[in-house]
Amino acid sequence: MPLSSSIQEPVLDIQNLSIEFPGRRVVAGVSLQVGPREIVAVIGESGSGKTLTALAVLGLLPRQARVTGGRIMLHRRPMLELSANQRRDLLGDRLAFIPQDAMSALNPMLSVGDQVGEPVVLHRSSTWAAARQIAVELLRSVHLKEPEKRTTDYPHQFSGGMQQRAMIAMGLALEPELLIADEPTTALDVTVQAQVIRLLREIRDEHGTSILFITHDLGVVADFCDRVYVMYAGRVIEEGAVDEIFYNPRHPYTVALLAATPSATERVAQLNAIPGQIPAAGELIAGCVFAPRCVRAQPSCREVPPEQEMEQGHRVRCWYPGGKT
Amino acid sequence: MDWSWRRHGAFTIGTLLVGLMLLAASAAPWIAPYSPYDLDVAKMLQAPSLTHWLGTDEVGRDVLSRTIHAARISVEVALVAVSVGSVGGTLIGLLAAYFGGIVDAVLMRLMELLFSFPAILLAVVLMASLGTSILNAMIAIGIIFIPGFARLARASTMDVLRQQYVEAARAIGMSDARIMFREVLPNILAPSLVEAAVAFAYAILLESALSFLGLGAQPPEPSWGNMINTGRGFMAQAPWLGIVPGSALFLCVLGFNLLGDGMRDFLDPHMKE
Amino acid sequence: MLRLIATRLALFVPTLIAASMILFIAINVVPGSAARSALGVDATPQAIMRFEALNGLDRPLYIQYADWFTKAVRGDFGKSFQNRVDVGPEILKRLPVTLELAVLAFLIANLIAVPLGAVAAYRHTRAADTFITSLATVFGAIPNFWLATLLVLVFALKLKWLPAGGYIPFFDDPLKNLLRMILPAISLGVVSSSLLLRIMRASMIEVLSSDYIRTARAKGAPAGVVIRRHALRNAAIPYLTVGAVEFGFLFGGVVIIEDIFRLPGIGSLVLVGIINRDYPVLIGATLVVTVAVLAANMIVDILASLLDPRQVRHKSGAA
Repeated sequence: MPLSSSIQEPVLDIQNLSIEFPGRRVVAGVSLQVGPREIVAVIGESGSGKTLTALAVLGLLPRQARVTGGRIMLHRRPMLELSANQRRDLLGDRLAFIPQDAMSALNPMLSVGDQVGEPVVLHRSSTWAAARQIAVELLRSVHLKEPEKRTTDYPHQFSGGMQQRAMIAMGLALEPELLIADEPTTALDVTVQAQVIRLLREIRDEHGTSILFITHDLGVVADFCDRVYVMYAGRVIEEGAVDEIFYNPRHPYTVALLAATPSATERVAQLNAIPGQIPAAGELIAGCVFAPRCVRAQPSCREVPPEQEMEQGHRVRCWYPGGKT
Repeated sequence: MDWSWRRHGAFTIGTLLVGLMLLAASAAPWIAPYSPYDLDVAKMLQAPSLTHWLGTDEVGRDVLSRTIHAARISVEVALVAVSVGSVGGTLIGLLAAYFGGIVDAVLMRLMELLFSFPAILLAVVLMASLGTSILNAMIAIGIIFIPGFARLARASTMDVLRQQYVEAARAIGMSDARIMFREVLPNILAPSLVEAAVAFAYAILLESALSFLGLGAQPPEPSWGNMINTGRGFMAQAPWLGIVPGSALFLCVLGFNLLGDGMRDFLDPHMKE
Repeated sequence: MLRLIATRLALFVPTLIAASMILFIAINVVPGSAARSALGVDATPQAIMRFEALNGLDRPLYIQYADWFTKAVRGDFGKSFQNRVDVGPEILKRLPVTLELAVLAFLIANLIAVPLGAVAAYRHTRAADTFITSLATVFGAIPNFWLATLLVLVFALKLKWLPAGGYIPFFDDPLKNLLRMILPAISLGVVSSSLLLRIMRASMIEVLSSDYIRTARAKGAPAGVVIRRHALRNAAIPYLTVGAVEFGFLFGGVVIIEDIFRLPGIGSLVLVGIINRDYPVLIGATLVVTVAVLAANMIVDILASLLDPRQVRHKSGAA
C-alpha cells in the first residue's frame, strides 16, 4: 500500500533540486521523497532529467553538470553538503546504484566475484578471501545458479540477465537503505525483465530496502511500484500513488503517456501519441513546459502552473488538470 | 572554455616558433650578423658579449650566425625528406587501398616491415651505403617516412572509397587513374598534412642526429647536429657552444609538434577533449 | 593461449628473414665502397679486387645473401673486414650492455609516463592535466643526444656527482655499473616517456569515462582504488601495444647515446661498422637490434592478451 511521505520520515528527501549544464538548466526545482520500504518510480522520456536527478543523489553527475539549488537528504544526511570522503563512505554502503547497462557497468578485467564482494572490502575492511565468500552468498541470494563456480568467471562469460543479477548482488552487499536503479531492465528481454523486477520486489520485501526506480516504461511500473513521479523537461509534473496515476491521471502529459503505453490487456497503442517534441534540454519555455504540445493548452498556460493537490498525495502541476471531477 | 583557449595558445606558440624558424632559414644571409664560415682564431671560444651575442666557437666563428644558417640546412633537409616520404607513401597507400587484394597485402606487409626498424637505425644504415652527404641524408630520412604516410593514405582512401561520389565516378566509366587522382587524392590530403607537420619535426631531429654522428652535414657547413657535437667537446669551458644550437633544435621541434597538434584539433574537433 | 604464442612465433621467423633481406639490400645499395673505405683512398684497383675476392664481394648480391644466411642460421656472422674478429661473439659480448641500457631507459620512461598519464587523465582539462600535457610536449621535443650532453654538463662536469661515461659490467660492481648507466638511461627514457604519456593519458580518459568506472565510484571506491584497480588494467592493453613500438624507437636511440657515453654496446658497434664500412659487423649489429625490437613487440602482444580475461579463459561460456 502506498505510504504518504508525510506520515513517516522519508529515507530519501529531495527538495527543490536544480541541475545546470553550462548555460542550460536541465533539472528545475524537483522535489521527491522515498519512504521506508517504499518502491518509487520516476518516469519520463530521455532528456526529462530523471537520470540526472538520480546521479545527483549519488554525487556522480557528469563533470560539466552542477547542482545549483535544493537539498538532498538521505536519512537526515545532507548529501550535497558532505565532503567527498563522507559521501564515499555512504556510497556502496548505505546507498547503492544499479545502472542501466550491466554489461558495460561491469569491469571486463575483474572477476565477477571480486566486483560483487568489493563493497565489503571497501567499507568493512574485509579481506578479499572473506569478500569472495560473501560474494558467493550474495550471488545465491539473487538466484544465480551455482554461485560457487561463477564467482571466478569474468563478466563476458555471463548472460545479460546474469550480469544484471550480479549488479544487484553488488548493490545489496551491505544492505543499503536505498537502492537507486536506473532503467535496470531496459537492456534485457521481456522474460528476464520480469525476473529482475520480481527480484527487486523480493529484496524490498525481505530486507526492507527502499528503491528509487528510474524508467521510461510505464508498463514495468504498474504492478511493482508504490508511488510514481512523472517528469517532463526537468520538472515533476505529476506525482501520486501508482493506482492514482494509472487510473486517475490528471496531467495531460501523463494521460498521453498512458495512452502510448501498450499493455497486456489493451490493443497495441498508436505510436507518436503525443504531437510535437520534448523541448531540447534547457530550452526556455515561459509558463507550463508542456503547453506547446498540450491539447488542453489555453492562454493562461503561459504562466507557470501552480502545484495542486487533487487527492491525498496526488499532486499535479497543471492549470487544467483533468480526471474524475 | 579556458581548456580550448589553452589549446589555441599552444597552437599560437607553435605557429610563432615555426614562423621564426622559417624566417631564419629563408633570410639567413641577411639577418645573420656575421658569416657562418669566417674563422678568427684570435676570437675563439669567446663568451656571449655585445659583439657576439651568443659567443664564438673553437675557431672564432659567430655562434648566432652559424645557428641561423643551420636552420636553413634543417629546413632544406626536412622539406625534401618529407616530400619524398609523403609523395612515396601517399602513392603506395593509395594504390594499396584502391586495388586491394594482393597488391594491398604485399605493399602493406612491406611497409609494416620497414616500420618495425628503429627509424634512426634505418637512417644510419642507409647513410652507410649511400655515403655521408646532406643529399643522402634527405633521401634516407625520406624513406623512413614512407610507411607512416602509406598507412595513413591507405586508411583515408578506404574511407573515401566508401563514399557515394566514387561509386558515381565508376558508374560513368571514369578510369582508375582519374578516379584516384581526381576524386580520391584531394580528399585524403588533410590528414596527410597533419602527418607532414609532425614528420617535419622528426626529419629535423633525424638530420641533427645524423649530423651529430658525422653522417649528415659535413663541416664547415653548419648544422645544429654537428654544432652540438662540437660543443660537446667544450662543454666545460664554453657551454654555449652546445646549448645554443641545442635550444634552437629543441624550440624548432617543439614548434612543429605544437603546430601538428593544433592542426589535428582543427581537422578533428572530436579529438579536443 | 599456447596457440597464440605459437602463431606469434611462427610469424616471427619470416619477418626476421625479410628484415635481414632488407638490411642486406640497404647496405649494398651502392656497391664497391666497402673495399675503398677498408683499404683507404689510395688503394690500387688490384688491391680492391683482391679485397673483394677475399671477402666474396665480387659475387652477385643474392649469392652473397644466401651465403651469409646459411652461415648466420648456424650462428656464424662472418669476420670483421677491419680486424678479422668474429662478429658473432663480439655481438654477444656487447649485447648485455645495450639490453641493460634499453631496459633501464624503458623503465624510466614508464615510471614517468604511467603515473603522470594517469593523473592527467584523472584531472582531465584541469590545471594538472595542462601542466602534464605540456611537460610531455616538451619531453617529446628534446633531442636525446642534446639532453645527454646537458646531463653530462650538469651532473658530471659541474656537480661531479656522476661519471661522464665508461662502462663497468653489472656483475663486477653493480653500484658503479648503475652510476654509469643512469645518465644514458635518463637521456633515452625521458624522451621516450613523451609518447607513452600521451597514450596513457588518452586511454585512461577513455577508460575513466566508461560505465564500470562509474560503478566503482558508486561503490564508494576512493580515487586511488578507482585508478589502480579499475582503470589501469583496462588502459594497459592499448598502452602496451604502443609501448612496444616506442621500445623500438628507444632501441634506435642507443646508437647515439652509447657513442656519447662511450658504452661498448651494440649501438657503438653499429657506428664503428658504418664508419669503417665493415659490412659483416654492420649487418650483424643492426640485425641484433632488429631482433630485439621484434621480440619486444611479440612479447608485449602476448603480454597484452594474457592481461585480458576475454582472451585468456573460456572455461564456461555464457549460459
